[in-house]
Amino acid sequence: MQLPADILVKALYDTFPDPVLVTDGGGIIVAANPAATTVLGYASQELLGMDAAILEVEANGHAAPDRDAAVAADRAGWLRRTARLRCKDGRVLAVELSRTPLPATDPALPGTVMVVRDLAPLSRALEQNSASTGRLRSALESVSLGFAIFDGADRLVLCNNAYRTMHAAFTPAIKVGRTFEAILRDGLDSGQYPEAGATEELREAWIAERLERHNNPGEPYVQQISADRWIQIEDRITADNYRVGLRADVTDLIRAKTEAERLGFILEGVAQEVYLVNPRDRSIIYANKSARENLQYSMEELRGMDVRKLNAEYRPEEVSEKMQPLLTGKTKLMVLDTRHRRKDGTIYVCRVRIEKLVDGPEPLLLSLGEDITERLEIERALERKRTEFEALVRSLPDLISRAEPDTTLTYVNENYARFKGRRPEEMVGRKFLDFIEPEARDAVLEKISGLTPDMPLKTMERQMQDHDGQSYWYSWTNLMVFEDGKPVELVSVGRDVTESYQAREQIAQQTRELAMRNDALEQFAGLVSHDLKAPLRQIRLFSDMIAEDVRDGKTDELEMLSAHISDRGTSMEQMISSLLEYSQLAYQTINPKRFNLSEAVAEAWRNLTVHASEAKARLISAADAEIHADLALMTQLLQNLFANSMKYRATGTPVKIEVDVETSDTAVSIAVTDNGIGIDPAQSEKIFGAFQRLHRDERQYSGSGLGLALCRRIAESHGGTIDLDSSFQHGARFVITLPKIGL
Amino acid sequence: MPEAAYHLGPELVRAVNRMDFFRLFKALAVNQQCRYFVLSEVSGEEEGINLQHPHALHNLPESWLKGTNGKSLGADPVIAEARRSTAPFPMDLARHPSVLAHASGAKTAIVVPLHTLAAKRYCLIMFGEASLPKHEAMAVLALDAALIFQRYYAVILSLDSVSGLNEREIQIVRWTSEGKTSAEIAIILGLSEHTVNSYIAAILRKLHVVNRAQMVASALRSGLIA
Amino acid sequence: MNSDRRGQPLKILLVDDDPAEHVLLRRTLEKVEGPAIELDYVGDIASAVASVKAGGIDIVFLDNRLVPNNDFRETAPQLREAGYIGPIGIISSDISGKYFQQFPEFGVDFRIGKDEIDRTAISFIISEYTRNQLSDNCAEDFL
Repeated sequence: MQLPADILVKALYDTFPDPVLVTDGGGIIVAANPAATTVLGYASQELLGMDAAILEVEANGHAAPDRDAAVAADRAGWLRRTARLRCKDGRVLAVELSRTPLPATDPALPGTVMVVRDLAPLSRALEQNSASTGRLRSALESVSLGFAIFDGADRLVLCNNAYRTMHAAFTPAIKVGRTFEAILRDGLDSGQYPEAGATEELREAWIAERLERHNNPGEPYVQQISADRWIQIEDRITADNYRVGLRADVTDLIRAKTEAERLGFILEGVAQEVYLVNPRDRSIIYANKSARENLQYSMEELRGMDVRKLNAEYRPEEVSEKMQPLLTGKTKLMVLDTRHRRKDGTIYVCRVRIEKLVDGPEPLLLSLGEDITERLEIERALERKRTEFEALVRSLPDLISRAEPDTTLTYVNENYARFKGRRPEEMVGRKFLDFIEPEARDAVLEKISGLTPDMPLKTMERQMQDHDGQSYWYSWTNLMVFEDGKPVELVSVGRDVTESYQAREQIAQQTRELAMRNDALEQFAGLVSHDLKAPLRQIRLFSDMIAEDVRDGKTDELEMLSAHISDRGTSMEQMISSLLEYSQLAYQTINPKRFNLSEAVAEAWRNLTVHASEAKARLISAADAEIHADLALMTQLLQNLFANSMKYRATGTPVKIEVDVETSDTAVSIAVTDNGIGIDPAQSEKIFGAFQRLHRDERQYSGSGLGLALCRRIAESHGGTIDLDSSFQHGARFVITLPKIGL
Repeated sequence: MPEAAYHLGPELVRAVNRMDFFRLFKALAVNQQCRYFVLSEVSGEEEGINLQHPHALHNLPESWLKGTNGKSLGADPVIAEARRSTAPFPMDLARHPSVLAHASGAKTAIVVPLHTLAAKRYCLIMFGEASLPKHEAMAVLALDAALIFQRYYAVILSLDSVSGLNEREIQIVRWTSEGKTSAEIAIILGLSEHTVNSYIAAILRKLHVVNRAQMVASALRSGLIA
Repeated sequence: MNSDRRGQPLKILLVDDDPAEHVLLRRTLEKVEGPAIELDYVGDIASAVASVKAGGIDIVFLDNRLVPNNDFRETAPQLREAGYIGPIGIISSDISGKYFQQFPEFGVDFRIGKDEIDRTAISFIISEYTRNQLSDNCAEDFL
């Protein structure tokens, strides 16, 4: 039997890992390979000659190894069955016996070859397998992932509850053995897939696409399965052509994602600098665009950077110290102005607002920064301006106030307060009307209430008294500030215009005087052109007549005509001399001395003796008073007044003239009263005008209309006045007032 | 004759009646050393001018006019020339003796043609001693004459085309409708009979009527009086 | 006014407190041709009122200023109140005062400056104020 094949078999037989036992026809072991001795624990000699059946442990008390063995009928005599074999040390091995009848080439050796395979590793594996399968199942049921397996024919093999729940609308359709497509169509019919569309065509197209993805799966994708539910689908094909479907409910994720995206965009886009910092190591987790651009770092450079390194003002320890209250939870929020260093080394001032976020999974520091370099500059400029303004306002000589529209003062400058003898703080809070003279309040209020958005500024001049009672003229400019048509603030500036006011008053006074002089001049021109011309005309006409008469040889009227000429000539002479008198007076200086007024009265009366007797005039004089004046001028004044009284006497009544004197501390007033026709009060000023004539009778008196003008000039040259007492009704009464100088 | 004071300015606008315009035209003439003047409408008729017309103004003595009685003034060389001219011109009376000024001894006539808005032709003729005026003096004179005449037209002549009566006129119509005579109305209103008649004449012209009965009827119709 | 008195001299009343003016006007009137003119003269308004009341006055020449009155506005109405309905002319050496403009309201018919008075002016006044302004068919007797 030493055939080369035998050698090969022998080699195989010797090296085969499983025990190989060769039995004869009687079941007696005739040969055993080394593995048999190793596995079974018997020595080779012990096995040889041993009935193989002895090795077998009888199942259920009987051993019928071959008789009830499952015979593989397709191969003659080949049999494989499990059995339990007892090893020499008593262990029982579960084995698989493969018994192959030896070819009956040698009748003497009708034996079999048995290959024993130790099943223990396998059963261990099986046991293990069974346990893990159970665990897997329960695990599958417990995970939230939907899980389904389809076999090669795309029939559902298994799925978990989550998978069913995700397809709640058609859970009954999800049955093991149904095809994916059938389940899908049921799902579509149940309305599970709103995205599929409404028409038949759209749905078919959708199914085709869905199947395509199922059969040729790629990247996971998200499918909306109802209005507010999204799942992520991940299909896999296994090596043995099974399809495994994983379904994850991503609704929350999708939602969270959109919100987070939005937040992210906002954070990225805001003008403020936003930092997210890990509070444990102060490393930067995120910095938004504003922060990156201002700091000149990229996100990559910033991520993980110690946020304290950005601070150019404090050392890291100092920063830590400053942030300590926040980190320990002592405060939730802190704001600090500090300085950040850019990548290029430049520095900017940053106002940082740091908040510790503890609600998230990880505590976070949210830091909002604002580059306040510009703002600081503006603030500084404003402050500078304010200081300048304050200094300006303080140094201005004007009175300045600011007030609410209801005139409650909110600001008063030093000058204003000083003017009122108060401190600014005493005035603020009170209405400025309180500081205005009561009689001026209405006018001021009216001015202020007249301010409108169209005309918000008005100026008024008014007299004011300071705390010493000194009077000044102030020009007040009131500006009402309006916002949206509503008054919000009243700014008032008062300027001392006392001097210019006085100057203006003086100019106005001079203008008035000038106007009066112009009037007088005009009257003078009128007098010259008219009153002097009139007698001249008569003289000319009379002369013509005389010439005519002489030519005609008529003599009867010559005397009368020449008398008229003479009369007109005299009248003109008088007029011219009184004009002269008046104009001389204009340049005359007075020679005052002390005398008794009765002297002047007596002298004036003496000068008018002729007229007085003609007018049957009577004088009642109570003029016993010392005055200091020019005697000649005072005499002339009185004489003019007396002449006036005689001139305008009432018809048929004897003229009565009274002179009375009253002396006060400062003045002497002399009243000259008559019982004549009186003077219309409306004319009371006009009569004193130069050349003013009330009546046309210049031929009869020398006064020629200049009398009262002369009187006034005399009174004024003494620093006094003369006026008509317009209240007197029974004639005319003139009152001369002279200052008591030198008495 | 001395030069009269001549104030065209304020006096011009103050003129309210024919007397005032007489004074103005006379002053204008006197200013040109002309003692006499004639303002008259120039008609196309043979006599040329009618000094008796109520709108005429002149200061020629009646005796001179009597001399023209029956004769045609249209033949007078000054009037004839005035009818032909539209521009002011002076005339030497020694070469062209005029009946009008014959007795005055005037040497010169100054003629200023004038026109109303209604295209009626008037002329102002002044007779004086002076030599022929210079060009500039003529221009100023013509302008002053035109100004006075325009005012005369506005205040007096244009009444024909003015509608509406003033308060005084309405009073007079009212009293007339009550049967008052001019004299009675004059007493009632404190005016002269002449003035009342002037008003009535003006009213007649304004209302385009010719007598008092028509005046009252017209005023009643137009509601001027009740 | 002149129709019933044809043949009678025209009677002018001068009211002026200056007698010289009387002389002047008288001499001027002497040179006015035409119908005979008679000149009456009074020196104050009271006499003037008495004069017009007496009747026969055809025209009044009234001086503007008569003492003690201010101007014609105080005097002319007195003549009207006296029932005088003939023409009143104000004479004055100066008629440029503004108040002169009011003369029609005070019953005055015309105004004239004293230096404007000459025989041609008098002639015009006489013809103007004695002329019948209304045509015959407007005579009063139709009423």
